[in-house]
Amino acid sequence: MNYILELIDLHVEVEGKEIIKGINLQIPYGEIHAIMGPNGSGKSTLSYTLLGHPKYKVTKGDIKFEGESILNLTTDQRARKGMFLSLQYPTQIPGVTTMNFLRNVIKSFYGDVPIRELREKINSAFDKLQMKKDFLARYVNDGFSGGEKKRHEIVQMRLIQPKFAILDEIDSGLDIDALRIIAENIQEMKSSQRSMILITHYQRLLNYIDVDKVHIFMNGKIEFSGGKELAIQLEQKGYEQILSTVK
Amino acid sequence: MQTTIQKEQKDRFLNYIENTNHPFKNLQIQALERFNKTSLPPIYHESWRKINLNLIPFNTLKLVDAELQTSITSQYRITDPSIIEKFLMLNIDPLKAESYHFEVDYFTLLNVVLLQNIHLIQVPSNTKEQIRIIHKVISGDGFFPFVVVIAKEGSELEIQEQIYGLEEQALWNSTIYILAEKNSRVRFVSIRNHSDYEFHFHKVRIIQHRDSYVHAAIFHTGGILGKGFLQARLLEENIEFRGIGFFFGEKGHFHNMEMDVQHLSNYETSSLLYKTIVKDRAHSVFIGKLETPYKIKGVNSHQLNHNLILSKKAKAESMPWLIVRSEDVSCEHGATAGDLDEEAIFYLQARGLTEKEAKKLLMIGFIYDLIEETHLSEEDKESYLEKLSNQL
Repeated sequence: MNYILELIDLHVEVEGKEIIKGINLQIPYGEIHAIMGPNGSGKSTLSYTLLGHPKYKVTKGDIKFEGESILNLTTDQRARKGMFLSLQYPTQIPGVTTMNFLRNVIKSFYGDVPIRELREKINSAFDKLQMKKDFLARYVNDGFSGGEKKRHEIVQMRLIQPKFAILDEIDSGLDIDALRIIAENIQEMKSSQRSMILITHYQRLLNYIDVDKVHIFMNGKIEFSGGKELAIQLEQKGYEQILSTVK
Repeated sequence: MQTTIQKEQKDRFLNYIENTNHPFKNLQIQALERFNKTSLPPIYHESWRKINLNLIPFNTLKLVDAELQTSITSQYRITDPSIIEKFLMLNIDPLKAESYHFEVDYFTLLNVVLLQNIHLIQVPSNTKEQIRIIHKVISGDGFFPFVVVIAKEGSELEIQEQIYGLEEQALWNSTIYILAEKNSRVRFVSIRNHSDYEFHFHKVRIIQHRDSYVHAAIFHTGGILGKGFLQARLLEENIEFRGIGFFFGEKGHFHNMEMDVQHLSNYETSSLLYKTIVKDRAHSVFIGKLETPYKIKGVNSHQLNHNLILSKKAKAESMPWLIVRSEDVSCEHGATAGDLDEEAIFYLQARGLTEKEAKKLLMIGFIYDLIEETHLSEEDKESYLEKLSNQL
C-alpha cells in the first residue's frame, strides 16, 4: 500500500526530555486519522515534529513523506512538499496584515499570482469559512477570537491545498456554528489525494467528518487504534476505562 | 585628537564664505566668529557622549566643489531675508533672535558657516499645501542645507523630505525649522538613506503655537556615524506633538537619535515612538528627552523605544531623559530590546516562506505601524517598504 506518511519507531526530545517514545504509524492517501489522548501525552509534540520545529529533536526513527525521509528538510521545505500544520494556538504577528501574509503564503506555493486572481482566491476562501473581509486589513491573528483564529487556519488550508494536513485541536474554543462550518470545510477538502491527522479531545468534531481511524495517544506512544466508534466509547468511558478493557 | 578647528581650516571657511553669493554673509561671518571659539561637543556632554566625533574628517572636506541640489515643490516659496535671518540667528545665537530654547552647538554654527541651500516656504493662513523637499548630491563631500517652513494660522501642511546620500565619504549637516502657527496642522516625514561612508548630522526643529498639531516622522538607514535631532518646542496651550522614528543599521553603522520635547505651557500632549533594527556591528542610541519647567499643568507625555537586535555584536541603547519640574504632569517611558519571535518564524515557515523571507516579513511588520502613521501615499509607503525589505 502507498502511504503518504509513515512514522517509523519515532522518538522525539524537547529540551533534553523524551516526549515521544517510539511511534509507528502509517497513513494512506485519502484517509483522515484522529489522534486523541489526555493532556501532555505528546500529541502537539508530534505535530510540531512533523513540520520540523527546531525545538523538537528526533533522536531515533524516521518520518517518511511520500516514501522519502524528511528529517533533513527545513520547515518551509516540508510545507512546500505539501505538509500543513494548523497550530493549537495560532501565532499572532503584529505589523503584518492578514492580506499581506496571505499574499506571501500564496506566493511561496504558486509564485506571483495576478492581484485580481489573488483577491478572488482569498475572498472565496473567506466566504467558505464565513469570515468577514475586514480581517484582511488586521494584523495576523492579532486580536482575533479563538474561533476566528481557527477559521483563519482553515482559510489558509483552503488557499494552500496541501497534500497532508495536521489539524491540532482545530475544534477547541469554537461555538456550535463555528464548529460546524470548520468541520464542513475539512470534510469538503477530503479527497483521494489528501490525508489528514485531526488531533482532538472531543468526539463532536467527528460527527461531521468521515474519519478512517482513531488512535489513542498516551505517554508518548500510540496505545490503541480503532475505528470511528472508538471516539464515542472514549467520550462515554474515558481513557483509563477503555484502555483497561482493551488490555 | 581633533577637538578644535585648526587655523588652516578657519581660513578655508572664511575663504568659502567670501566666495559664496548668499545675502547672509554677515551672519555667516558672525557664525564663523562664534564657531572659531567653539569646540566639538565634549564627551561629558550627555547628548554627545556616545559619539566619537574625532572620526569625522573635517579638514579634508572639499567645500568649494560641493554641490547639493535641493528641489522643493511649493507655490509659496519666498525669499524675505528678514525671516530667513531670524531663523539663521537661531542657529547662531538664539538670545538675539527669539528664545525658543534651542541649543547652539558646533554643528548648528557649522551649518550657517557653510550654508549651501537656503529655502523658505510660508504657507498662508487657512491654506492646504503639500510640499516635497529633495536633497540630492551632485558633487563634493560636504552638504549643508537650511530649510524653513512656516505654516501660518489655520493652515494644513504635509511635508515630505528625502535625502539621497552618496556612495563616497561625505558629511551632511542639515537644519530644517518648522514653525506651526496657531491652530495649524503639520505632518512632516523625512526619509534619509545614507551610504556606508557618510557622516550625518540632521536637525529638525519644530516650534508650535496654541492649538497646533504636529506629526513628525524620521526614517533613517545607513551612515557610518551620525546624530539626528528631532526637537519640539511647545510654546502655548493646547498643543499636540507626535514624534516617531526608525533606524535600520547594518555593517558598522552608528546612529544616535535624540528626540527632545519641551512643554512650555499648560494642557499639552506629546508622544514619542522610536524603533530600530540593528544587525552585524551596527549601533543605535536613542535619547528621549522631555522637559517641563515649573508651574506647568495638565501635561501628558510618553515615550517608547523598541529595538530589534539581530546579531551578537549589534547594539541598541535607550536613554530616557526626563526633566520634570512641575507636579501636574503625567509622563511615561518604556523600552524593549529583543530578537525576532522564533514562534512567528516557525509559523511563517510552516506556510512555505523560507527563513529569510519569514524574517524579512517580520522586520517589515515591526515598523509597519510607523509607516502607516505617516501621510506618505500608498505608493510611497509600498516603495519605501520594498526598498527597505531589500536591505534587510
